[in-house]
Amino acid sequence: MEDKRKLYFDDIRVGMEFPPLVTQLTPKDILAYAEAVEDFNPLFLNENFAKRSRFKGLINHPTTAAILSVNAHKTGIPLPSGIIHAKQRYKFFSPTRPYEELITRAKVIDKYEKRGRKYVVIQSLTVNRQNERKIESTATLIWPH
Amino acid sequence: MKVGDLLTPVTKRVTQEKIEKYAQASGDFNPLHLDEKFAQNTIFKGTIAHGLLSVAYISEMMTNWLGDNWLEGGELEVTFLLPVRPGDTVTAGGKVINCIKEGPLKKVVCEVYCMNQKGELVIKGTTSCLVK
Repeated sequence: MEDKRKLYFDDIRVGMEFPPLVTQLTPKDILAYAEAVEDFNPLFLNENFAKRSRFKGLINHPTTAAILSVNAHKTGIPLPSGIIHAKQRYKFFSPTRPYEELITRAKVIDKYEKRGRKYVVIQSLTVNRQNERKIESTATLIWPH
Repeated sequence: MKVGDLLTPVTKRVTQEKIEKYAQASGDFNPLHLDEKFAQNTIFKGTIAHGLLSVAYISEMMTNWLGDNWLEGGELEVTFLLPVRPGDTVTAGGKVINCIKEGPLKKVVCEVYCMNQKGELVIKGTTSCLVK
């Protein structure tokens, strides 16, 4: 039975904001991500190599943005099971780094119904403590109920 | 770097174990990816991979090609067309469709895709990046 306290389509309003996600990605998170996507670029994993790059240290895979945006959607009322990803847009402004404090704010920018499906568009912006823009994500999701 | 250039593809085999690793790494535990019984009762009739797993393959291809330029200014927009299932082999590929001078930089726009082993497009989209 579905929990009644879930965020259903009818409860979603355009402009609705999720509580900010404040987090950091640790080297352990990055290694787990590298193994999952099988991308072992030394810029993300090898400190000595990364120190000699123009970034002067380790940076994170740009698509670790997924960890931030997925979790930034979960900071409020629990989401129903079975959401389907329809579209995704990312803009990578500058790389995030291990242990950097990252603040991701997500909000609903659109919702609509098309061919019997319910769509919700959530945009999130990740910045660091210095308020430097890191990643913008726009996810178009098909809501199950 | 010119219109028509093909990007060097990235190919990976997706398994249920890799989907579970991705769920752990990303924090996305949607049962559509992990719970066969739940997924059997959806339009997909079985578990499917996270769409963003394949997006990671596209980004890897772009990083291999554009390096720092991609990491500090890449932009991508994709539509998920078909599910990727455990056992599928996914190839990310693409080609340059536009190359415009913007001052000392070049804006490179590519058409990108992910294709499964049957030659079906599972993802299509575009990337754009300013290149030094």
